[in-house]
Amino acid sequence: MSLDIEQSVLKTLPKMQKQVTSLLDALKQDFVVPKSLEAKLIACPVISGRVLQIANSSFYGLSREISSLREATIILGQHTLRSLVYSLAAMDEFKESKQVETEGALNYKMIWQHSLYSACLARVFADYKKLNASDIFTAALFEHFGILILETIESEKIKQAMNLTLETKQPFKSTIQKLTELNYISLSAKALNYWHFPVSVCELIQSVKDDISSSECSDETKIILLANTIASVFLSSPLSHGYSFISKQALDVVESKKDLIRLLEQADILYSQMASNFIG
Amino acid sequence: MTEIALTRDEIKQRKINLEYFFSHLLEDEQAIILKDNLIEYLDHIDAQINESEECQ
Repeated sequence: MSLDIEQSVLKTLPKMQKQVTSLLDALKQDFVVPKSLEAKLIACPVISGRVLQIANSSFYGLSREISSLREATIILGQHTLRSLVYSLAAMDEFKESKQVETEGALNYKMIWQHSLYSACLARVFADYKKLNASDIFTAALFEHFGILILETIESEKIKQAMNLTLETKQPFKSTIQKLTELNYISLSAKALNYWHFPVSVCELIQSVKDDISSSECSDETKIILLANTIASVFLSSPLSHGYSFISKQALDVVESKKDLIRLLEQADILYSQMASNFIG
Repeated sequence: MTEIALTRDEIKQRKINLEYFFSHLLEDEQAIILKDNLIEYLDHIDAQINESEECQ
C-alpha cells in the first residue's frame, strides 16, 4: 500500500464545524469540568440531542432517565461520552444527505446500516463475553468508514469496485484495493486516529484489516468478524460478497444456539432503537 | 409484552438475503451451523409475531 496515497487521502478529510471541534478538543483532555463540557455540548444541539436520546435508550441500560446534558456527562463518564460524540460527529460528516449524487454511486445509507447493525451485534456479543462493549461497538461501526472517505475523492473507482464485486463476487475490500491501492479498513483506522478517536478503537479496527479468518486472533477481533458476517448474511450490500467460508473461531464466540438466538434478538432491538439516532 | 424488532416483511427479506449469501458459500460444517441457527432465529421471531397477533 502506498503511504503517500494514504496521507493525501487523510488530508482530504472534512473539517468539522467550529463548535464541534471545540467540543471534541475538550473531550480529548483527561478531565473536563462537567459544567464546561455541558456548555460545549449545548453549542452542538444536534449532537447533544442524540446523545440524550441514546443515553436514555437500552444502549446503556441505565436504570433511570437522564434528563440533562450535565447528568449525561456525569453518569456516562468522559470516556464513553467521548466515543459517542466522536462517532456522531464523524457520521454526520459522511451522512447520506452530504453525498454528491451520481448515477449508480455507492449508497452511503446501505454502508451505515450494515455498519450499525454489525456494531449492535458486536456490542451484545461483547457484553456477553464481558469485554469493553463501547470500544468494540465503535470499532465495528467504523470498520468500513474508509470506503466512504475514498468515495468522496475516488467515486468513479469505488463505483467500478462495487460493480466488479457484484459481477465476480470478490470481497469489496479486494476490489477496492485493486483499483485504489489502499486497504480501506486500514484507512478507517488512520482516519479515526487523525480525528483523535480513542487509540484503543483505532487499534481494534487495525486488527481486523487483514484476513484474520484463518489465523489466531483476540476475542474482540473474533466478535467483530462474527458481527460483520451476520450483518453480511442478513443485510444485502456490496459488503456481503466474497465470503469463501465461515470462521470456526468466530462462531465459537457464542457458546450455544440458545445464547445466539437471545443475543440476536437483543441486537435487533438495539438496532431498531439506534437507527434513527445514528443514521437519521 | 415482548418487544419485537422485526416485521414479517423484514424477516422475509432476511431469508432471501440469507439464501443468496449461503448459495455462494462452500457447504461445510460451519456454514451449515450458522445458516441453521440464523434460520431458527428468524423462525423464532416469526412465531413471536404470530403469538402477538393472536393475543390482540
